[in-house]
Amino acid sequence: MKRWLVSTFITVYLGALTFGLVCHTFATHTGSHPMMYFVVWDMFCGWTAYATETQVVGEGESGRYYELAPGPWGGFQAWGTLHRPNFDVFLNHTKDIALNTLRHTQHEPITRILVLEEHWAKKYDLPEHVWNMRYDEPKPDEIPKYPYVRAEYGPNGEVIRNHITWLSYQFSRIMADNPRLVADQRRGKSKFVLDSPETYQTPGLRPIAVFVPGNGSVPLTTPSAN
Amino acid sequence: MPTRHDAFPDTEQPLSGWWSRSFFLREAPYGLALARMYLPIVLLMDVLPRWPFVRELYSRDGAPAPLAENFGYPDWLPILPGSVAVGVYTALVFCLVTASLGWQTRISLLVCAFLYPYFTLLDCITTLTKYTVIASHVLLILSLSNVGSVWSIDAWVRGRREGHLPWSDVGREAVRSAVWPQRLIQLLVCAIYFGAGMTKLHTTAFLSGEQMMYWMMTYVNSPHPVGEYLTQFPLVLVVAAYSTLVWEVVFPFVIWRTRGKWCALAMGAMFHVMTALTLGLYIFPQVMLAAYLAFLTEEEVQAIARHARRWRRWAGSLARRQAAPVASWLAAAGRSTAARAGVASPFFARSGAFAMLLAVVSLGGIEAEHWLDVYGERGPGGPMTLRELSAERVERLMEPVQLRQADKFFSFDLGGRIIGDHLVNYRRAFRQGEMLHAQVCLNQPHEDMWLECQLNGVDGRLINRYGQVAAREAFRAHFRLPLDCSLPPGEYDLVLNNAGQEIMRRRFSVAESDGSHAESAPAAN
Repeated sequence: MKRWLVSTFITVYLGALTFGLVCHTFATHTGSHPMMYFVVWDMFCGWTAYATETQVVGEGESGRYYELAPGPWGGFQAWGTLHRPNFDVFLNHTKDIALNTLRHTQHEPITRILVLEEHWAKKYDLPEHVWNMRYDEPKPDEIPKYPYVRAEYGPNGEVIRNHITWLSYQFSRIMADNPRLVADQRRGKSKFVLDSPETYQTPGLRPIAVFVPGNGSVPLTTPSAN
Repeated sequence: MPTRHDAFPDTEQPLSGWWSRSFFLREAPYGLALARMYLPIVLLMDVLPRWPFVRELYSRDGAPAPLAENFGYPDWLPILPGSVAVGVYTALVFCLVTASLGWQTRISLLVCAFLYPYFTLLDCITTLTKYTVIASHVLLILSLSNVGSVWSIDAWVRGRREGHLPWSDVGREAVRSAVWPQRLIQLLVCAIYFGAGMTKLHTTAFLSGEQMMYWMMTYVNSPHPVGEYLTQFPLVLVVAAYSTLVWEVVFPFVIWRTRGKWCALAMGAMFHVMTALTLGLYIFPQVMLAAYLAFLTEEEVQAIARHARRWRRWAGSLARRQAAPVASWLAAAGRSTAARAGVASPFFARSGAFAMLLAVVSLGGIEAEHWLDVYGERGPGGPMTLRELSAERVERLMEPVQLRQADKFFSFDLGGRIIGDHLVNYRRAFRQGEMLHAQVCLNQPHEDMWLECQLNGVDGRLINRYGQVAAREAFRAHFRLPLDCSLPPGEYDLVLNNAGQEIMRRRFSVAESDGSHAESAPAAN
């Protein structure tokens, strides 16, 4: 290989790495293009105090409910025991997983698709011997869980309801517990925030924020690192 | 004959001293060859379990989850039809194997460098992670390097044909090439660590240990029993958090000197092994360790080989006796191959044979996947039926439940000392004159809270009451209870209350003072 070609490649490559580092350090342009995922090193995205399990459910015309993820053939478990929808934090692809299951199975007509979540404090996931080291109270036989309807879609995947994450919802409840703040916010505030069309090309127009009634908007960001 | 320090033996002139020394010094790429052998094996551990699900994860006949859609680029990458995706994915598996063996090394690595990121980008929820990104970088750089020139089938074939062994002096000189690919992997590792350090600086509660603790209780990765146990020692997590941050930020600056290099790499290896044990990350550490191999210079690999040979001689007499029949067979095989090499180029040297085998393996993959019938559509009775769920359970999942007050609390512990805002010596037995520290750990999110600690006798009699506000951003609150002589020896309960409810209760004992603890003075403010 000619040396000037190699030198050009080295320069471009190191330039890309440097660009990613600068963007990441100053939190700018990190979500501007998919290739940014290749030069931004955000390996620790933060973990919460609550565990989540997602269930994708289809409701038939008869009123019966069916499991749509994993499909009846058994789904893919990536690293532990969880199935794919559990990793779709921003709910951008779960609908497609459900529709794929419907395409490849026989079933009665489906009237709606629900994405349901259960949340619980992670302390209950500690194994028995670790729990006993820390707590006087016995570990509860039944872990207190918090159900949450994350989204509802029509039979062809059209969005009927799309809610923010349960944790964002809990944060928003805390913020809403302030009458002065809520009154200030309601004064002359538009109801929805949509991105400018030049950023998201049609037909992929998507909201960059989700409106929470009375609680403002919560941004949808790029996926977290693992 | 060019020497190691003769960077430009040909007519080419260096751009500048620094640039040439950094990128165009010539070395035998032993370190890169080790990375080439190891990295594909690691990736196969990740790639092979996905093979039965290719149709579902990466094809138009399934539910791919392209990363580009999250960024607002819906049709950024083409998505292949089911069988084609299976065939191409099988080709990726084949090329990972041949890259590791070093057969048609450059072609194999180029195919991997193209196909591996392609498939990972098609499933951003269960395939694409930062380790796949790092592996993609390394595969790309390896594919542009001269890494097939050592410790590969290609090198073996060439050595046979040219009548020298790759590890002889002649062979070693023949395989030397510019070190820029090695240097780029080294700089990549530096960038990764520096970027990861910046992430940790941005991450709320990383340095206080809370994020690490919750991660160690998270079960989205593989099992990690050491992590579960370590959640009980938050101060250890704080020390680990600070050490990790310092090491990641300092790494790019110390790695270029021999002593600093070995120190930084040893710390790195320890860090990555610990992420496997405490966080359940199994593939990530191995990808990073594969990248570390690029830090080995030619001299270092030769030194390691010398040590290995010495060790082998030391332990070898018995092994030699046992291995004599094998050695004689290998020698015979070598003579036979050498004889053939003079007549015609061997099968392994032909790229046509490689392409033919690649096509056969890919077609075989398509056929095997067809018979596997992943969706079960061609089985008796046609497509499968959906699994019905209990209506009662689904309806329960649709009814919202208010967050219990008790779940806003992680723990309530008693001890005698606080370091770095963490209770360190948990205990329940105290003496008069000591200070009792009660630590309340809070789960986020929680509202601004009024926390109340009641000191009760075991008969329930209220002795004292302490209170404080825990603001919504707080992860912990501490109560300091001076155990003075007004508290007679005996057993007591410390009861944590919030919002009119008892949250947790801890029993402790107070013994008579042994005289070693002075009456604690009020804290200065």
